[in-house]
Amino acid sequence: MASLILSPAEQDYITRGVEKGLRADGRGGLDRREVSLQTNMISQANGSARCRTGHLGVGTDVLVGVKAEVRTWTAGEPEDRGAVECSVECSPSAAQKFEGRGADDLNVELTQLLDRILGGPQSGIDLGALCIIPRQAYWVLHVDALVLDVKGSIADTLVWAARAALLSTRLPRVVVESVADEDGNMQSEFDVVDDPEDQVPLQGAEDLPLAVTFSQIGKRYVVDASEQEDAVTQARVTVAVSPQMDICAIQKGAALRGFPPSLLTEILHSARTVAREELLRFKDLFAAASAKSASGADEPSTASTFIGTF
Amino acid sequence: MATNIMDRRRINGPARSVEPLYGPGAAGADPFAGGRADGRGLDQVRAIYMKTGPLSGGQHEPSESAASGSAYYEQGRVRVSCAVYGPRQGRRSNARMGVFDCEFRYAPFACSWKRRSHVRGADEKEISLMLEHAVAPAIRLEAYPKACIDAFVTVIESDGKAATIAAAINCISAALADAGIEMYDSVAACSMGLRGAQWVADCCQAEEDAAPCSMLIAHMPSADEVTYILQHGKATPEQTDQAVQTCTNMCTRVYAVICRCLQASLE
Amino acid sequence: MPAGDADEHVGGGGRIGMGVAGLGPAKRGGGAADAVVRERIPPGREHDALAYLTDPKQGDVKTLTAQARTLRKVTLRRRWQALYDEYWKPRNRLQLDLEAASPISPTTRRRRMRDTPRPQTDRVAGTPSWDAARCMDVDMEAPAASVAARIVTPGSAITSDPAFMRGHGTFGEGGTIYSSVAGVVERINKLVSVRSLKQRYSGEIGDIVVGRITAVGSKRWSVDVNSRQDGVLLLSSINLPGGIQRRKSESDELQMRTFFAEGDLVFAEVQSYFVDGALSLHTRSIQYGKLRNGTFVSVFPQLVPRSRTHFHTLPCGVDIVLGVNGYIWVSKHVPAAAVEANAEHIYSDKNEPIADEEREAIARVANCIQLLNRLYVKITETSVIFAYEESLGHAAKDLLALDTATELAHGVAARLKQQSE
Repeated sequence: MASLILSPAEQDYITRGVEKGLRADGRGGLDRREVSLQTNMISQANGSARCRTGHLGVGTDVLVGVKAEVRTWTAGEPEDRGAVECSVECSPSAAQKFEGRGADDLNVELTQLLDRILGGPQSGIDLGALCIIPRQAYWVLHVDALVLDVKGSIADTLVWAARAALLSTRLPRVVVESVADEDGNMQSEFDVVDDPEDQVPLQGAEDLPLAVTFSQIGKRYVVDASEQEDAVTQARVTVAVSPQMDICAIQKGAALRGFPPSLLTEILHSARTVAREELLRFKDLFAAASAKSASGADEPSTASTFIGTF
Repeated sequence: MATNIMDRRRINGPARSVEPLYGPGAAGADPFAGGRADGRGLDQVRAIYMKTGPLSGGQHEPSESAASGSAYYEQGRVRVSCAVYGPRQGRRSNARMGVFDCEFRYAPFACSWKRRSHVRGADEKEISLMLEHAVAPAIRLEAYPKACIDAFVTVIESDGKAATIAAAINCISAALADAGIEMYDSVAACSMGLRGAQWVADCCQAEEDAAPCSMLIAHMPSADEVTYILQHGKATPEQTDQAVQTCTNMCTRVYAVICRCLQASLE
Repeated sequence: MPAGDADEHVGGGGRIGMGVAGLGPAKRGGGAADAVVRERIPPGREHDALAYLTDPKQGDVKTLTAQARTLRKVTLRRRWQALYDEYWKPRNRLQLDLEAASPISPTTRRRRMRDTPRPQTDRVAGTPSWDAARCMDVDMEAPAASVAARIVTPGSAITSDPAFMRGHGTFGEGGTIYSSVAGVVERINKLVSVRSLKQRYSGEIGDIVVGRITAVGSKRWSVDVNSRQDGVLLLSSINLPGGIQRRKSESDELQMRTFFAEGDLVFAEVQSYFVDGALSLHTRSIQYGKLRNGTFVSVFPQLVPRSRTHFHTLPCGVDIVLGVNGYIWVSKHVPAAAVEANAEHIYSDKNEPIADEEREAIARVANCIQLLNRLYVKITETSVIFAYEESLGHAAKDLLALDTATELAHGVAARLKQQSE
């Protein structure tokens, strides 16, 4: 991550600023940058969202598409539930270091993070409802994320986008009926209704968690680290918090240092405060985004509207 | 290199197991309340056996392929071996700091349910990254500019994923110590699983499958830093807080065992 | 211009050139009938002629049929020629002409291609051909012409007037100047150039730049100056600690990282070019050297105009270094006297203590510069001060939020306009 090399003076300036609670761009420790959200702009996917963290159209940009697939059950898999599978890819257009195999480590880290947050009962999605016929067929939700631009704080943006995409996901309705085969045994069969109007939202998507990433810089920590702050981050921990304020996942990143246990406890506490605000903010933005996508108005995103007003 | 790690015949079972040291306060809660399959207490870690330098090169003449340091670690049925090479000239060198690289592999027969393929899976890559993140804070990388330290971990037998990762972390820090690499402190790791509302230490596979949430913490007791934390699954904030506390304490106990083993190997 | 070409292509009026040389009807035979058709039937009237010729009442059927056949051929050829004129690039046409004209060697052909002026439509005669229609009117006075009218894309012909010289962003071929970038045409006297909207910094001697050290080599540092290649700072072109006049010694070569290490920011001046075009920098002045006590902002290089001074102390107690290469350093104000007094510490990495108010002011200025950058406004001392003053009603961290930024944008625009009037 730390491909950006800063001079010792810059590092010192950032570190001391964080310790004083006044960051290089004027934010306080727990302030976040502007977030913009757009949903349902990929018509081929069951649900999609694009989230950008950063000011004036410059910032970390993540695009998430959710595709649902019917999969035949095979022995060894859970019998009565569906599955969520995540993959994250950092596009080489985001940064030169992602060229070739440069993004591999980051891809693995982010994929596992997203999997840890979404890929089980902790995500809040009702996996039982994704089962079509037990021991026969179930839905698989492929959550595929594409990181288009990187300006710090990828994990949070990623989870924002994934949450919005899953919230906007609509699954085709499935009709299950029992049919007798030649031997007279009753067999369940299902039919996917091929009507774009007749679709159901995901059950339990409102309970999806949001993630807050804390970066330890000097003796203090910040949320939503900028690119320059990322370069001096000693340790990073991502905490996923559900709307019920349960902690759904914790994962540490960055190999430079560890956290003193007291700081860790403090982080876990502020994670909840930050997450509460974040969830409210998400709700507003998501409502605005879905209203916009529902009205069909193809408004340009922040950058162009902003430049246009000048 | 690979043949060295796979040379399991040199490791002849545990000659001596060391029980973790339990503080007087630890037994306060009713240890057998839930009753565990192997009769352990809820906060009891499986018996740990550890040996440094099982792979060639430790005591013998250093040769090209010999590891600089190695360790074998056993905790119940979890068996892990680790070889450390370096510090040596690395591929990706950094003028200011050394690089710590870790490669984690399951042996094909390591898991109970199915044979693992030889191709490195995504979970192995992820665990490699986790181990790097967990152990690197302990190494004085700034003392090794332009150098690269490689750790190769092979899981011979696994029993509970979180427990296996914890064992791997312990094994690496022992192997690093064996290789004589400068460190701030040894890293000790410990895992727990949630059962009902209670945390159960060091879950085996069956217990982990039943647990809705598992917690893994790597801790440097002397430096008092948590170098890694991973929670998989959902828990209330109070439970998480409690887990961090208990797990950190347990790491300290595991640490004592590791230190004792290291001392014994030095003698 | 060859006579034949003039006949075929420059015919003026409504006449469309008919023959690609070599495919001309006369050469293929077809004889008298063809000649008659060619001379008598004006372009555009072929249909009438055909109707006339194919009418059996009109006399000798045999002649008429022959004439009709030729007419069809000619009609097709004329139509094809029209399409050809419209869509094909003139340079292809030239090549075809030459190839067909004579069995000459490729070398000769290439030479002739180079030397022969392309059969251009005479602009005085005013026949709009493909080429002339796309030619920009560079004679327009720059301020009068709207910017939109001067925007070109790569490959657009700008002018074929030999009076003009071609500048940056253009290439010449066969007497015509084409644009090689997407941007705006600019004309200074007889020099025509195209300025693209975004470009990397291209250095000039005497430019004040801010750069970041990327590598330490033997007796030199590589410096990222936002240019197409890294700049070079030689050990011999820095001020060594302990007296400006000191000669560099071998011990200096061994401890180069104590002066500048990877990642350090330097404030330097472009001294000269190397043969390969890399910039050679120097820091032989007390105000140049390592940058401390502040934060770094990167903007579009073309937004920072060259001016007499690039080091400004703003009234709010913040120093800014506006590097012409688009790298900007915003830092706490340190009086010049203090800098001179601490000449021994020019390579120190330590920041001075920075008070909270100073930090806030630095953050505010940095955000203002980012805002100006996003607005694509020239970044000068004046515009930064304007933005700063406009921003005082808001918290520094909110400056880049969309609503505040829009409000500020209008404020700054108004003040800049007022100032220019």
